[in-house]
Amino acid sequence: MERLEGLGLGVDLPDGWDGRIYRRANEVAGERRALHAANFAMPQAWGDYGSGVTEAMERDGVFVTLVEFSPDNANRGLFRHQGLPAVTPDAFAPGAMPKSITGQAGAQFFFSLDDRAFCLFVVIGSYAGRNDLAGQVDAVLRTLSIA
Amino acid sequence: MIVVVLIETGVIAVLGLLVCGLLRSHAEILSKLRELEAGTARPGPAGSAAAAAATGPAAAGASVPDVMGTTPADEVVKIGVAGARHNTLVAFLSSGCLTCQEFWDTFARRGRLRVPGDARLVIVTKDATEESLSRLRELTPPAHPVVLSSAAWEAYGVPVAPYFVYVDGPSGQVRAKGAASDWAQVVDLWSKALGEQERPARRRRDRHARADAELLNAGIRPGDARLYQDDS
Repeated sequence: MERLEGLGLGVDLPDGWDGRIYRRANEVAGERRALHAANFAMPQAWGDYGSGVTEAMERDGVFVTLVEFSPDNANRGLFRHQGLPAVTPDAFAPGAMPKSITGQAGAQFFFSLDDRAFCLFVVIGSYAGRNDLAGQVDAVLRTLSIA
Repeated sequence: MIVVVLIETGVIAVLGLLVCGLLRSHAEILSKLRELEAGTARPGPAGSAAAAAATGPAAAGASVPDVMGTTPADEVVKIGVAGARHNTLVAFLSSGCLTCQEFWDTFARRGRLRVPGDARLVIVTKDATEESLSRLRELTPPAHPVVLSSAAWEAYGVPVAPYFVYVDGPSGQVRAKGAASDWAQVVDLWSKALGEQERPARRRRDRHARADAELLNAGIRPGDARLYQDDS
């Protein structure tokens, strides 16, 4: 287990997991922080929400992305939920994927934390295996710190 | 006269000893220089230093951690190596070393790179304080991660660049490591080194399969009482 830390974000990642914390400029949201974590080798070509990454996932794969939005969005509308949500198996749905990939399922959460707005998007390689895979994601996210 | 000859003989003998000593010292210096050259400058041709390093006793069995550091694009990254499902070939390169340029060029080429054992290729340089970040940004290949991590150099015991470490993902153990001067040499040496390690296991598997087949032909199946008879 190693702790990945940078730009005020931190998370404990099990051995063998990939992770990255980066800052990416966006026309709408401005410059924003983002975190990716996966229990497989993440490809080099990737988008904020895992395009280019989830295609490489196998059935036991999980991919987590946390993207920060402008603080102007915090505590209202889509981002009115307070605090990091628990990732439970029933949160996943095959239809939550921006691009449908057979067997995969996604779960998306918008929330605010300390007057900052975030989107958490999780993809699992197998909807049928969501009980185990959601547990892996939740265990990792319990170690997440946001400053 | 005899005395003079004796003195001259003595002087010549002493000078001879001095010359022999100097020649020996010179030979030792040359030998050390060659060792240093093999270790820190351009690695030797195929089959020399690289082969010895790839199959040496220190190569196998050591556990190594995941690679953590930053990328030339200022991302903070962790690359799963130990405990990963796949094997990883970690290439320790520098933006400045001449021999490394061959590898940067090879990794930047389009098309699928043949990596021994179908391992994931990860390039690791030293931290930004010891590297040229702007040069690294130019060199970073599109298809392979580049991580700046002096900590990884230390953890993996890297003595020289370019240097390669092949890690078995599930066990997190080093299977081979060593220096090489070009990618063809890496592929050749590593394929041999990995093949040699796999061969005894394959031979064992073959022997077991043959024994099972012969037993089945003789009508002896798993659990047969004859398998457990005591000959004594």
